[in-house]
Amino acid sequence: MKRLLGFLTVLGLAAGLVMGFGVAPREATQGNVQRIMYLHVPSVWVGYLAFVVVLVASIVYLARRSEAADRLAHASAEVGVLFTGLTIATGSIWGKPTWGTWWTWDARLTSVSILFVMYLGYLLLRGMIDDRERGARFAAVLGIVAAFNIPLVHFSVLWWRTLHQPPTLMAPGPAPVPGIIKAALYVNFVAFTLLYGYFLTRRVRVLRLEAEAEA
Amino acid sequence: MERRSKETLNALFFFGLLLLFVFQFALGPDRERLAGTLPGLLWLGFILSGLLGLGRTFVAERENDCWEGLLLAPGDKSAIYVGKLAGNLLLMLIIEAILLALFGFFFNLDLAGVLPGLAVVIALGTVALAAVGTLFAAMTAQVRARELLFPVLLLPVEAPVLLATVKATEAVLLGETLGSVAHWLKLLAAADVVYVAVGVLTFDFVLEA
Amino acid sequence: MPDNWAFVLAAYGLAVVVLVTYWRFLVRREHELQDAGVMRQQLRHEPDASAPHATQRGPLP
Repeated sequence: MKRLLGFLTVLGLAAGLVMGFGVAPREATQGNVQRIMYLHVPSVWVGYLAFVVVLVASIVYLARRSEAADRLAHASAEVGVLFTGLTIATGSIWGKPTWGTWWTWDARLTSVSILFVMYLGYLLLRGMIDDRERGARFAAVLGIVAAFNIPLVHFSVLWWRTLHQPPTLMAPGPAPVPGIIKAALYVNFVAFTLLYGYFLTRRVRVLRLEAEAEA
Repeated sequence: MERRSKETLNALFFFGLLLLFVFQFALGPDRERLAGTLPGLLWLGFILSGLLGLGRTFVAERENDCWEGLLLAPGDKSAIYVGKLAGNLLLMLIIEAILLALFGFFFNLDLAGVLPGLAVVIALGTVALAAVGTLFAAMTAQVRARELLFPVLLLPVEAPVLLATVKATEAVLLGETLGSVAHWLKLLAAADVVYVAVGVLTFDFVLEA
Repeated sequence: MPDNWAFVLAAYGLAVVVLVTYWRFLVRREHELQDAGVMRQQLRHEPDASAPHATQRGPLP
Protein backbone atom coordinates (compact mmCIF):
# COMPACT_ATOMS: atom_id res chain seq x y z
CA MET A 1 0.00 0.00 0.00
CA LYS A 2 2.77 2.35 0.98
CA ARG A 3 4.68 1.41 -2.16
CA LEU A 4 1.69 2.10 -4.36
CA LEU A 5 1.01 5.46 -2.72
CA GLY A 6 4.66 6.42 -2.96
CA PHE A 7 4.76 5.45 -6.60
CA LEU A 8 1.59 7.39 -7.40
CA THR A 9 2.94 10.38 -5.51
CA VAL A 10 6.14 10.49 -7.51
CA LEU A 11 4.12 10.07 -10.68
CA GLY A 12 1.81 12.90 -9.64
CA LEU A 13 4.65 15.22 -8.76
CA ALA A 14 6.37 14.48 -12.04
CA ALA A 15 3.17 15.19 -13.91
CA GLY A 16 2.78 18.37 -11.92
CA LEU A 17 6.24 19.55 -12.89
CA VAL A 18 5.66 18.72 -16.52
CA MET A 19 2.39 20.63 -16.50
CA GLY A 20 3.84 23.52 -14.59
CA PHE A 21 6.92 24.00 -16.71
CA GLY A 22 6.33 22.20 -19.98
CA VAL A 23 2.68 22.53 -20.81
CA ALA A 24 1.58 25.69 -19.06
CA PRO A 25 2.42 28.82 -20.99
CA ARG A 26 4.34 31.83 -19.85
CA GLU A 27 1.82 34.00 -18.09
CA ALA A 28 0.89 37.23 -19.80
CA THR A 29 1.23 39.83 -17.06
CA GLN A 30 3.63 38.27 -14.56
CA GLY A 31 5.99 36.29 -16.72
CA ASN A 32 7.45 32.97 -15.68
CA VAL A 33 7.50 33.97 -12.02
CA GLN A 34 3.83 32.98 -12.00
CA ARG A 35 4.93 29.33 -12.16
CA ILE A 36 5.63 29.53 -8.44
CA MET A 37 1.85 29.45 -8.06
CA TYR A 38 1.91 25.75 -9.00
CA LEU A 39 3.73 25.26 -5.70
CA HIS A 40 2.08 27.95 -3.63
CA VAL A 41 -1.60 27.29 -4.24
CA PRO A 42 -1.56 23.48 -3.88
CA SER A 43 0.47 23.93 -0.67
CA VAL A 44 -2.16 26.12 0.91
CA TRP A 45 -4.85 23.65 -0.16
CA VAL A 46 -2.96 20.80 1.51
CA GLY A 47 -2.63 22.92 4.64
CA TYR A 48 -6.37 23.43 4.87
CA LEU A 49 -7.01 19.76 4.11
CA ALA A 50 -4.58 18.72 6.82
CA PHE A 51 -6.22 20.94 9.41
CA VAL A 52 -9.68 19.67 8.57
CA VAL A 53 -8.34 16.14 9.11
CA VAL A 54 -6.97 17.33 12.47
CA LEU A 55 -10.46 18.54 13.39
CA VAL A 56 -12.14 15.27 12.47
CA ALA A 57 -9.47 13.14 14.14
CA SER A 58 -9.65 15.30 17.27
CA ILE A 59 -13.41 14.86 17.55
CA VAL A 60 -13.09 11.12 16.99
CA TYR A 61 -10.41 10.93 19.65
CA LEU A 62 -12.52 12.71 22.26
CA ALA A 63 -15.53 10.59 21.39
CA ARG A 64 -13.84 7.19 21.13
CA ARG A 65 -10.42 7.61 22.78
CA SER A 66 -8.90 5.92 19.76
CA GLU A 67 -5.10 6.11 19.84
CA ALA A 68 -5.12 5.81 16.08
CA ALA A 69 -7.22 8.97 15.82
CA ASP A 70 -4.78 10.76 18.10
CA ARG A 71 -1.84 9.71 15.94
CA LEU A 72 -3.70 10.82 12.83
CA ALA A 73 -4.35 14.24 14.35
CA HIS A 74 -0.73 14.64 15.40
CA ALA A 75 0.64 13.56 12.03
CA SER A 76 -1.80 15.68 10.06
CA ALA A 77 -1.00 18.77 12.13
CA GLU A 78 2.69 18.27 11.52
CA VAL A 79 2.34 17.81 7.78
CA GLY A 80 -0.10 20.71 7.70
CA VAL A 81 2.37 23.01 9.41
CA LEU A 82 5.02 21.86 6.94
CA PHE A 83 2.93 22.75 3.90
CA THR A 84 1.63 25.95 5.46
CA GLY A 85 5.21 27.04 6.07
CA LEU A 86 5.97 26.19 2.47
CA THR A 87 2.98 28.29 1.40
CA ILE A 88 4.32 31.29 3.27
CA ALA A 89 7.86 30.84 1.94
CA THR A 90 6.82 30.38 -1.68
CA GLY A 91 4.35 33.23 -1.39
CA SER A 92 7.09 35.48 -0.11
CA ILE A 93 9.53 34.43 -2.84
CA TRP A 94 6.84 35.10 -5.44
CA GLY A 95 6.05 38.44 -3.86
CA LYS A 96 9.54 39.89 -4.07
CA PRO A 97 9.73 40.23 -7.86
CA THR A 98 6.00 40.77 -8.24
CA TRP A 99 5.27 43.32 -5.56
CA GLY A 100 8.83 44.45 -4.90
CA THR A 101 8.74 43.38 -1.28
CA TRP A 102 9.50 40.15 0.60
CA TRP A 103 6.56 40.60 2.88
CA THR A 104 3.16 42.10 2.47
CA TRP A 105 0.09 41.85 4.63
CA ASP A 106 -2.17 40.66 1.87
CA ALA A 107 -5.15 38.50 2.70
CA ARG A 108 -3.69 35.09 1.91
CA LEU A 109 -0.23 35.53 3.44
CA THR A 110 -1.76 37.01 6.60
CA SER A 111 -4.39 34.30 7.00
CA VAL A 112 -1.92 31.51 6.34
CA SER A 113 0.56 33.01 8.78
CA ILE A 114 -2.04 33.04 11.53
CA LEU A 115 -2.90 29.42 10.74
CA PHE A 116 0.78 28.53 10.75
CA VAL A 117 1.32 29.99 14.20
CA MET A 118 -1.89 28.44 15.58
CA TYR A 119 -0.93 24.91 14.58
CA LEU A 120 2.69 25.42 15.50
CA GLY A 121 1.27 26.13 18.95
CA TYR A 122 -0.63 22.85 18.67
CA LEU A 123 2.63 20.99 18.09
CA LEU A 124 4.27 22.94 20.90
CA LEU A 125 1.49 21.95 23.29
CA ARG A 126 1.95 18.29 22.37
CA GLY A 127 5.66 18.57 22.90
CA MET A 128 5.31 20.14 26.33
CA ILE A 129 2.94 17.63 27.92
CA ASP A 130 4.68 14.47 29.02
CA ASP A 131 1.57 12.51 29.92
CA ARG A 132 0.57 10.87 26.66
CA GLU A 133 -3.12 10.66 27.42
CA ARG A 134 -3.44 14.22 28.67
CA GLY A 135 -1.43 15.49 25.74
CA ALA A 136 -3.78 13.75 23.34
CA ARG A 137 -6.86 15.15 25.08
CA PHE A 138 -5.61 18.74 25.23
CA ALA A 139 -4.33 18.63 21.68
CA ALA A 140 -7.73 17.42 20.54
CA VAL A 141 -9.45 20.36 22.25
CA LEU A 142 -6.97 22.77 20.73
CA GLY A 143 -7.39 21.13 17.34
CA ILE A 144 -11.12 21.77 17.53
CA VAL A 145 -10.74 25.40 18.64
CA ALA A 146 -8.18 26.09 15.93
CA ALA A 147 -10.29 24.55 13.19
CA PHE A 148 -13.39 26.55 14.13
CA ASN A 149 -11.18 29.61 14.12
CA ILE A 150 -10.21 29.14 10.47
CA PRO A 151 -13.30 30.75 8.95
CA LEU A 152 -13.08 33.59 11.48
CA VAL A 153 -9.48 34.19 10.46
CA HIS A 154 -10.37 34.01 6.78
CA PHE A 155 -13.15 36.59 6.91
CA SER A 156 -11.56 38.96 9.37
CA VAL A 157 -8.36 39.16 7.34
CA LEU A 158 -10.25 39.44 4.05
CA TRP A 159 -12.34 42.35 5.29
CA TRP A 160 -9.29 43.93 6.89
CA ARG A 161 -7.52 43.95 3.54
CA THR A 162 -10.30 44.63 1.10
CA LEU A 163 -12.67 47.08 2.72
CA HIS A 164 -11.73 50.74 2.70
CA GLN A 165 -8.55 49.90 0.85
CA PRO A 166 -7.65 51.57 -2.41
CA PRO A 167 -8.04 49.08 -5.28
CA THR A 168 -4.37 49.35 -6.30
CA LEU A 169 -3.40 47.36 -3.23
CA MET A 170 -5.31 44.43 -4.65
CA ALA A 171 -3.09 44.05 -7.71
CA PRO A 172 -2.43 41.50 -9.05
CA GLY A 173 -6.18 41.16 -9.01
CA PRO A 174 -8.28 38.11 -9.82
CA ALA A 175 -8.15 38.15 -13.60
CA PRO A 176 -9.79 35.32 -15.58
CA VAL A 177 -7.44 32.33 -15.54
CA PRO A 178 -6.71 30.59 -18.84
CA GLY A 179 -7.77 26.95 -19.11
CA ILE A 180 -4.29 25.49 -19.46
CA ILE A 181 -3.08 27.20 -16.30
CA LYS A 182 -6.11 25.90 -14.45
CA ALA A 183 -5.36 22.40 -15.72
CA ALA A 184 -1.76 22.64 -14.55
CA LEU A 185 -2.99 23.82 -11.16
CA TYR A 186 -5.39 20.88 -10.86
CA VAL A 187 -2.70 18.37 -11.70
CA ASN A 188 -0.49 19.88 -9.02
CA PHE A 189 -3.43 19.85 -6.58
CA VAL A 190 -3.75 16.11 -7.09
CA ALA A 191 0.00 15.60 -6.85
CA PHE A 192 0.25 17.52 -3.60
CA THR A 193 -2.75 15.74 -2.14
CA LEU A 194 -1.06 12.42 -2.90
CA LEU A 195 2.11 13.71 -1.27
CA TYR A 196 0.10 14.71 1.78
CA GLY A 197 -1.41 11.23 1.95
CA TYR A 198 2.00 9.64 1.61
CA PHE A 199 3.60 11.77 4.33
CA LEU A 200 0.59 11.22 6.55
CA THR A 201 0.76 7.44 6.25
CA ARG A 202 4.46 7.34 7.00
CA ARG A 203 4.21 9.77 9.89
CA VAL A 204 1.35 7.83 11.47
CA ARG A 205 3.40 4.64 11.17
CA VAL A 206 6.38 6.28 12.88
CA LEU A 207 4.09 7.46 15.69
CA ARG A 208 2.67 3.97 16.11
CA LEU A 209 6.15 2.48 16.26
CA GLU A 210 7.13 5.10 18.84
CA ALA A 211 4.10 4.21 20.93
CA GLU A 212 4.98 0.51 20.74
CA ALA A 213 8.52 1.29 21.77
CA GLU A 214 7.30 3.05 24.89
CA ALA A 215 4.88 0.31 25.84
CA MET B 1 -10.48 34.11 46.73
CA GLU B 2 -11.69 37.69 46.99
CA ARG B 3 -8.37 38.92 48.30
CA ARG B 4 -6.70 37.30 45.34
CA SER B 5 -9.07 39.05 42.97
CA LYS B 6 -8.33 42.40 44.60
CA GLU B 7 -4.61 41.71 44.32
CA THR B 8 -5.02 40.84 40.66
CA LEU B 9 -7.08 43.94 40.04
CA ASN B 10 -4.58 46.22 41.73
CA ALA B 11 -1.67 44.69 39.89
CA LEU B 12 -3.47 44.92 36.56
CA PHE B 13 -4.38 48.55 37.24
CA PHE B 14 -0.75 49.44 37.72
CA PHE B 15 0.15 47.36 34.70
CA GLY B 16 -2.31 49.35 32.63
CA LEU B 17 -0.85 52.60 33.85
CA LEU B 18 2.64 51.43 32.97
CA LEU B 19 1.46 50.38 29.53
CA LEU B 20 0.20 53.88 28.92
CA PHE B 21 3.58 55.31 29.80
CA VAL B 22 5.28 52.79 27.54
CA PHE B 23 2.97 53.62 24.65
CA GLN B 24 3.65 57.29 25.14
CA PHE B 25 7.43 56.80 25.26
CA ALA B 26 7.45 54.39 22.33
CA LEU B 27 5.34 56.59 20.08
CA GLY B 28 6.70 59.94 21.10
CA PRO B 29 4.97 63.25 21.66
CA ASP B 30 3.55 63.41 18.14
CA ARG B 31 -0.15 63.78 18.86
CA GLU B 32 -1.25 63.06 15.30
CA ARG B 33 0.52 59.73 15.10
CA LEU B 34 -0.70 58.78 18.54
CA ALA B 35 -4.29 59.62 17.69
CA GLY B 36 -4.17 57.35 14.65
CA THR B 37 -2.98 54.38 16.64
CA LEU B 38 -5.34 54.87 19.58
CA PRO B 39 -7.80 52.04 18.84
CA GLY B 40 -4.89 49.63 18.38
CA LEU B 41 -3.18 50.80 21.55
CA LEU B 42 -6.36 50.47 23.53
CA TRP B 43 -6.85 46.85 22.48
CA LEU B 44 -3.18 46.14 22.89
CA GLY B 45 -3.63 47.27 26.46
CA PHE B 46 -6.71 45.08 26.88
CA ILE B 47 -5.02 42.02 25.43
CA LEU B 48 -1.79 42.38 27.39
CA SER B 49 -3.74 42.84 30.60
CA GLY B 50 -5.90 39.91 29.57
CA LEU B 51 -2.88 37.69 29.08
CA LEU B 52 -1.79 38.41 32.61
CA GLY B 53 -5.19 38.27 34.22
CA LEU B 54 -6.63 35.31 32.33
CA GLY B 55 -3.47 33.29 32.66
CA ARG B 56 -3.99 33.34 36.40
CA THR B 57 -7.47 31.80 36.29
CA PHE B 58 -6.46 28.54 37.90
CA VAL B 59 -3.44 29.68 39.87
CA ALA B 60 -5.29 29.32 43.16
CA GLU B 61 -6.20 25.71 42.48
CA ARG B 62 -2.71 24.93 41.36
CA GLU B 63 -0.90 26.61 44.26
CA ASN B 64 -3.14 25.21 46.96
CA ASP B 65 -3.09 21.70 45.54
CA CYS B 66 -6.81 21.87 44.93
CA TRP B 67 -6.31 20.64 41.41
CA GLU B 68 -7.23 17.08 42.32
CA GLY B 69 -10.39 18.37 43.91
CA LEU B 70 -11.29 20.12 40.71
CA LEU B 71 -10.73 17.01 38.65
CA LEU B 72 -12.69 14.76 40.99
CA ALA B 73 -15.63 17.14 41.37
CA PRO B 74 -18.82 15.33 40.50
CA GLY B 75 -21.25 16.53 37.89
CA ASP B 76 -20.81 18.62 34.83
CA LYS B 77 -17.43 20.29 34.69
CA SER B 78 -18.86 22.80 32.25
CA ALA B 79 -20.41 24.56 35.20
CA ILE B 80 -16.90 25.26 36.46
CA TYR B 81 -16.05 26.71 33.07
CA VAL B 82 -19.04 29.01 33.05
CA GLY B 83 -18.29 30.11 36.59
CA LYS B 84 -14.66 30.88 35.81
CA LEU B 85 -15.70 32.56 32.57
CA ALA B 86 -18.11 34.84 34.39
CA GLY B 87 -15.42 35.73 36.91
CA ASN B 88 -12.94 36.45 34.16
CA LEU B 89 -15.44 38.54 32.25
CA LEU B 90 -16.02 40.70 35.28
CA LEU B 91 -12.31 41.08 35.88
CA MET B 92 -11.61 41.98 32.25
CA LEU B 93 -14.47 44.45 32.03
CA ILE B 94 -13.35 46.26 35.17
CA ILE B 95 -9.78 46.46 33.91
CA GLU B 96 -10.95 47.65 30.51
CA ALA B 97 -13.13 50.32 32.05
CA ILE B 98 -10.17 51.57 34.07
CA LEU B 99 -7.88 51.48 31.05
CA LEU B 100 -10.45 53.32 28.97
CA ALA B 101 -10.73 55.99 31.63
CA LEU B 102 -6.95 56.32 31.78
CA PHE B 103 -6.77 56.58 28.00
CA GLY B 104 -9.44 59.24 28.03
CA PHE B 105 -7.56 61.16 30.67
CA PHE B 106 -4.06 60.95 29.22
CA PHE B 107 -5.02 61.43 25.59
CA ASN B 108 -7.76 63.91 26.32
CA LEU B 109 -10.52 62.01 24.57
CA ASP B 110 -14.15 62.98 24.63
CA LEU B 111 -15.73 59.61 25.23
CA ALA B 112 -19.14 60.74 26.34
CA GLY B 113 -20.88 60.46 23.00
CA VAL B 114 -19.27 57.27 21.81
CA LEU B 115 -19.54 55.35 25.05
CA PRO B 116 -22.60 53.20 24.19
CA GLY B 117 -21.12 52.06 20.88
CA LEU B 118 -17.74 51.51 22.48
CA ALA B 119 -19.34 49.48 25.23
CA VAL B 120 -20.91 47.13 22.68
CA VAL B 121 -17.63 46.56 20.87
CA ILE B 122 -15.70 46.06 24.09
CA ALA B 123 -18.31 43.67 25.48
CA LEU B 124 -18.30 41.51 22.34
CA GLY B 125 -14.52 41.42 22.16
CA THR B 126 -14.07 40.68 25.83
CA VAL B 127 -16.38 37.66 25.75
CA ALA B 128 -14.22 36.23 22.96
CA LEU B 129 -11.03 36.87 24.92
CA ALA B 130 -12.34 35.45 28.16
CA ALA B 131 -13.99 32.40 26.60
CA VAL B 132 -10.83 31.08 24.97
CA GLY B 133 -8.61 32.42 27.73
CA THR B 134 -10.44 30.49 30.42
CA LEU B 135 -10.26 27.27 28.40
CA PHE B 136 -6.58 27.66 27.60
CA ALA B 137 -5.77 28.67 31.16
CA ALA B 138 -7.13 25.33 32.34
CA MET B 139 -5.13 23.51 29.68
CA THR B 140 -1.85 25.22 30.42
CA ALA B 141 -2.21 25.27 34.21
CA GLN B 142 -0.38 22.00 34.67
CA VAL B 143 2.04 22.31 31.79
CA ARG B 144 5.64 23.31 32.28
CA ALA B 145 6.45 26.74 30.89
CA ARG B 146 2.79 27.67 31.20
CA GLU B 147 3.56 31.41 31.22
CA LEU B 148 5.02 30.99 27.75
CA LEU B 149 2.55 28.53 26.33
CA PHE B 150 -0.58 30.44 27.37
CA PRO B 151 0.12 33.59 25.31
CA VAL B 152 1.57 31.52 22.46
CA LEU B 153 -1.68 29.59 22.20
CA LEU B 154 -4.09 32.45 22.90
CA LEU B 155 -2.73 35.20 20.66
CA PRO B 156 -2.99 33.50 17.24
CA VAL B 157 -6.50 32.32 18.04
CA GLU B 158 -7.55 35.83 19.05
CA ALA B 159 -6.09 37.47 15.93
CA PRO B 160 -9.44 37.76 14.13
CA VAL B 161 -11.03 39.18 17.28
CA LEU B 162 -8.26 41.74 17.54
CA LEU B 163 -8.73 42.73 13.90
CA ALA B 164 -12.45 43.11 14.34
CA THR B 165 -12.41 45.03 17.61
CA VAL B 166 -9.73 47.48 16.51
CA LYS B 167 -11.53 48.23 13.27
CA ALA B 168 -14.85 48.64 15.03
CA THR B 169 -13.34 50.78 17.79
CA GLU B 170 -11.67 52.95 15.17
CA ALA B 171 -15.00 53.59 13.50
CA VAL B 172 -16.80 54.28 16.76
CA LEU B 173 -14.13 56.72 17.94
CA LEU B 174 -14.45 58.56 14.64
CA GLY B 175 -18.11 59.05 15.42
CA GLU B 176 -19.52 56.55 12.96
CA THR B 177 -22.54 54.43 13.70
CA LEU B 178 -22.46 50.82 14.82
CA GLY B 179 -24.32 49.98 11.63
CA SER B 180 -21.33 50.92 9.54
CA VAL B 181 -19.30 48.19 11.24
CA ALA B 182 -22.12 45.66 11.41
CA HIS B 183 -20.01 43.02 9.65
CA TRP B 184 -17.29 43.28 12.30
CA LEU B 185 -19.87 43.06 15.08
CA LYS B 186 -21.43 40.02 13.48
CA LEU B 187 -18.03 38.39 13.25
CA LEU B 188 -17.41 39.10 16.93
CA ALA B 189 -20.81 37.74 17.86
CA ALA B 190 -20.12 34.60 15.82
CA ALA B 191 -16.75 34.22 17.51
CA ASP B 192 -18.38 34.62 20.93
CA VAL B 193 -20.93 31.91 20.21
CA VAL B 194 -18.34 29.51 18.80
CA TYR B 195 -15.79 30.02 21.57
CA VAL B 196 -18.25 29.74 24.45
CA ALA B 197 -19.91 26.70 22.87
CA VAL B 198 -16.58 24.94 22.32
CA GLY B 199 -15.50 25.89 25.83
CA VAL B 200 -18.65 24.49 27.40
CA LEU B 201 -18.55 21.32 25.31
CA THR B 202 -14.86 20.51 25.76
CA PHE B 203 -14.19 21.58 29.32
CA ASP B 204 -15.15 18.15 30.61
CA PHE B 205 -12.29 16.71 28.58
CA VAL B 206 -9.83 19.24 29.92
CA LEU B 207 -10.64 18.62 33.54
CA GLU B 208 -10.67 14.86 33.39
CA ALA B 209 -9.05 12.98 36.21
CA MET C 1 8.26 41.77 -17.69
CA PRO C 2 11.52 40.10 -16.69
CA ASP C 3 11.24 36.41 -16.01
CA ASN C 4 12.93 36.17 -12.64
CA TRP C 5 13.91 32.53 -13.11
CA ALA C 6 16.14 32.86 -10.08
CA PHE C 7 13.07 33.28 -7.91
CA VAL C 8 11.29 30.37 -9.54
CA LEU C 9 14.37 28.25 -8.94
CA ALA C 10 14.59 29.46 -5.36
CA ALA C 11 10.98 28.58 -4.65
CA TYR C 12 11.10 25.12 -6.23
CA GLY C 13 14.53 24.47 -4.78
CA LEU C 14 13.32 25.34 -1.31
CA ALA C 15 10.29 23.11 -1.73
CA VAL C 16 12.42 20.19 -2.88
CA VAL C 17 14.89 20.61 -0.01
CA VAL C 18 12.17 20.86 2.62
CA LEU C 19 10.06 17.98 1.32
CA VAL C 20 12.99 15.64 0.72
CA THR C 21 14.43 16.43 4.17
CA TYR C 22 11.10 15.62 5.80
CA TRP C 23 10.81 12.42 3.76
CA ARG C 24 14.28 11.33 4.79
CA PHE C 25 13.47 12.08 8.43
CA LEU C 26 10.40 9.83 8.18
CA VAL C 27 12.26 7.01 6.47
CA ARG C 28 15.22 7.16 8.88
CA ARG C 29 12.98 7.28 11.96
CA GLU C 30 10.91 4.37 10.74
CA HIS C 31 14.01 2.24 10.18
CA GLU C 32 15.43 3.17 13.59
CA LEU C 33 12.21 2.20 15.31
CA GLN C 34 11.82 -1.00 13.31
CA ASP C 35 15.35 -2.06 14.18
CA ALA C 36 14.73 -1.25 17.82
CA GLY C 37 11.55 -3.26 17.63
CA VAL C 38 13.34 -6.25 16.18
CA MET C 39 15.98 -6.06 18.90
CA ARG C 40 13.27 -5.96 21.55
CA GLN C 41 11.69 -9.06 20.06
CA GLN C 42 15.00 -10.86 20.12
CA LEU C 43 15.66 -9.92 23.73
CA ARG C 44 12.27 -11.30 24.70
CA HIS C 45 13.05 -14.67 23.15
CA GLU C 46 16.58 -14.83 24.42
CA PRO C 47 16.20 -15.20 28.21
CA ASP C 48 16.05 -18.96 27.74
CA ALA C 49 19.48 -18.89 26.20
CA SER C 50 21.11 -16.33 28.43
CA ALA C 51 19.66 -17.40 31.79
CA PRO C 52 21.94 -19.24 34.21
CA HIS C 53 22.43 -22.87 33.28
CA ALA C 54 20.68 -24.09 36.38
CA THR C 55 17.69 -25.24 34.35
CA GLN C 56 19.86 -27.44 32.20
CA ARG C 57 21.29 -29.27 35.15
CA GLY C 58 19.25 -31.35 37.48
CA PRO C 59 17.27 -30.11 40.43
CA LEU C 60 20.31 -30.70 42.60
CA PRO C 61 22.93 -27.89 42.70
